[in-house]
Amino acid sequence: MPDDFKIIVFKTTYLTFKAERALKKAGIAYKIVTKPRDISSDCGLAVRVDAADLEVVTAFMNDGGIEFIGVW
Amino acid sequence: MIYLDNAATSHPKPEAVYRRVDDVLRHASANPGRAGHQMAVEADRAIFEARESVARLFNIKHPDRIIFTPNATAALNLAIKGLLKPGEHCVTTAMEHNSVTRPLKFLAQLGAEVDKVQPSPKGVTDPFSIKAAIKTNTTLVAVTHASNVIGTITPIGEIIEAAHARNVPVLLDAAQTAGSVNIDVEGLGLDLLACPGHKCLYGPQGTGFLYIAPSVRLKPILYGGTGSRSDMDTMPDFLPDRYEAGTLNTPGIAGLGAGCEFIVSEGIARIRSHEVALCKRLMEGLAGVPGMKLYGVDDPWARASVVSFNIIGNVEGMDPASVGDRLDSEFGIAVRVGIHCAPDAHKTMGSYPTGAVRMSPGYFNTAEDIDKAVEAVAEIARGAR
Repeated sequence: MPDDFKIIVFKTTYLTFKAERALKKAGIAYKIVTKPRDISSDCGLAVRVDAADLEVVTAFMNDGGIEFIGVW
Repeated sequence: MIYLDNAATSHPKPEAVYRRVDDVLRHASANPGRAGHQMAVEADRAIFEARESVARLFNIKHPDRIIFTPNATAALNLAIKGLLKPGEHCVTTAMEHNSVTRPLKFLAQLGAEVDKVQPSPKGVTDPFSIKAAIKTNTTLVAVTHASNVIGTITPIGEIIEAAHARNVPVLLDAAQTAGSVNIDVEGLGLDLLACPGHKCLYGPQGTGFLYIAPSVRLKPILYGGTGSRSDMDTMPDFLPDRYEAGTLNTPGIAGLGAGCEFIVSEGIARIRSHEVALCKRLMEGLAGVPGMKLYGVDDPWARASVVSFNIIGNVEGMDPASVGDRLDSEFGIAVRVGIHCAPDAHKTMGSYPTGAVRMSPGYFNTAEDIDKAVEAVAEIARGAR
């Protein structure tokens, strides 16, 4: 059920794993997934989170200075 | 065996390093950055963690500007060949390892200018001489933090200050100090830092890195796949990918990360104190042996953990190679002899082309190891009288 999830895409693999570390620390559920083909980015991976958590997660990324390209 | 060749490669490694390499090689050695399956993600994670661990040890604010390389030589080549162009000038010293001297010589043949500042015979580089050598076309100052032969520590803070006053970036070759002598990248305002993973950072061979400050832009010297921007036929413009073409040494880099974590957990000051105590004991012990020539400064705190010497004797000096062979075969003591890939350093200290015997204690050596080494040298020297 893809509608239940949101995909956050970061510019680089390094930032993707920086995001993972932050999410793990905060106890927010996530999964590292392969970036969907139609999203243009420099990283082949993306972070999938529950749609319900999106607002918290994006605020968290902004606070931590972990820049992301977008959310799908 | 008593291993006193840590300046070439440290041995043994902390247990955590062996375990990390084994674990990653068994469970996470898919290709990092190339796929999204679980094992590839584990490999990515191992690389990420290692980058963070290196950054923590060296106080690097931007871990993604740490470029993993196969060794310090590759890191130095990237820095030197990526920066210096024909017509531009580099200031270096007559104390450098061939990993700096040779790429500079290659570029000089292509039209770059290189000036080697002369340190004292004890290996002391005067920051003023570096400052005085900077010209209007100088684009790089490349210096060793401590010579692999004589060990004298370079006053890097003053050199950076002098170079920055002329807007020239500084490349530090920390092959003999990284992990043993504290290097605060942000505090120093260091531009380029080249380190081997397999010496004082306790990683396996085949690892190293170059840190590139945000103010420095290098031309890549290696081109190929990065797993990112695969649609493009040029290297990506973002770091670390721009300079990390080809599959990384994932298990080795993970081991390097574990080595850095070991240093942080032990405390670099504690490691340094132990090595200084061993060097002091070694220098004092060797100085008490008749017919001995010791190189470098007397203060063990002013040098990396490297002690070079020759047995001069009463008549003529002993060939360092035969001293090394006897230490190995008769006493089970591993040292390095010869000119240590650093002919300029030996010329500076007056031991070229003979070379010298080098003992380099590490964190895992003991005072007993040092005493046995001194006794062995004394025994060999008795035959020289």
